[in-house]
Amino acid sequence: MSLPERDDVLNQLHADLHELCQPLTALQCRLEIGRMMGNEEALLEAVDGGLEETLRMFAVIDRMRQRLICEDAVVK
Amino acid sequence: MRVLVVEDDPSLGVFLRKGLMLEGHDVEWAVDGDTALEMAALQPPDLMVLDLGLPRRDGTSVLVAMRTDFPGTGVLVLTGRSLVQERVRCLDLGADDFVLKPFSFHELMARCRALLRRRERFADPVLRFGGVEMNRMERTVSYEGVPIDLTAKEFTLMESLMLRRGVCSSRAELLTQVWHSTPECGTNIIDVYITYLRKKLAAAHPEDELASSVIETVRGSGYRLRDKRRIPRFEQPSLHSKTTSQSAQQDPPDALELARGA
Repeated sequence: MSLPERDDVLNQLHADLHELCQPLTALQCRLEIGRMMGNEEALLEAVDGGLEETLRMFAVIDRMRQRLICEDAVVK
Repeated sequence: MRVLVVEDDPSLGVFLRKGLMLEGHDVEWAVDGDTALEMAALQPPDLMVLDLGLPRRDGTSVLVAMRTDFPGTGVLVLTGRSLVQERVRCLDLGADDFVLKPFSFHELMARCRALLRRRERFADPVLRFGGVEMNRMERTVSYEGVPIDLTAKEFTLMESLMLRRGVCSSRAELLTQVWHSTPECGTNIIDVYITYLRKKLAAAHPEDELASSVIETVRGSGYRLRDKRRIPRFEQPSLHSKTTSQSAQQDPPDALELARGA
């Protein structure tokens, strides 16, 4: 792998990491705040919101997989 | 405290704001760097929680601008950039602390509290508001240049009000901050000590009818300090009977409301 190619891969990894960190952080905050508030409505909202964030994470992971498949095809 | 959250991710921004408000802070939220700097210029926050990955204007650029233009504001950086050199650069550019994403909300709050404690330790020890001057290091207070002798609890109560700089403090907040107690204990000690403070302010300048009005009762909310030049004319004692004005300023609100309800 050439240096520019390596840099591209690393930059893409950083971008993917950032994309994953956002919904993961939001998930943690939502759940912790739901528990802080403690009432049923807050907990339900935390669970609903948490599920939305997991969908975001699935989407990011899906994009990462697609990129890996493309990279793999290019290498072959 | 006034907090400005700068975060472009809508989900994270909403919940950071919500969580900080639950902690009792006055929170604004900006979704990009330019908006954040405009909002800071209108009302400088005590603390900025700043994401580095922002659209239009990078968070690093916002950090540099904040350090230059608003040195009194604490800046806590949120970043997903895990490289050591990135974090070192961030601190060297003036961030007070950083938190790596993903993070626990509880950790974020603990770092905010630690940051503010550090800033308070090195801040100017003299507070000034509404004619009251307080030196927190020497534990002295004066009103319009006349020294006032306060007890330890009176000093701490006055300090809490002065740190809020005219923003209302609820009785629950004052009970927690000054007496380390909870509202459930059912005490009206706050009202009693507010009365003590008002009497001492009035005694410092007996000819000044507005002296005790520097501490304002905000009905249903709590108390705040105000500049006597901003006291509306209809509230000034010289326009009402002395009896009415004195009882409105000196009686604890609980007693006053009971009397009105009778």
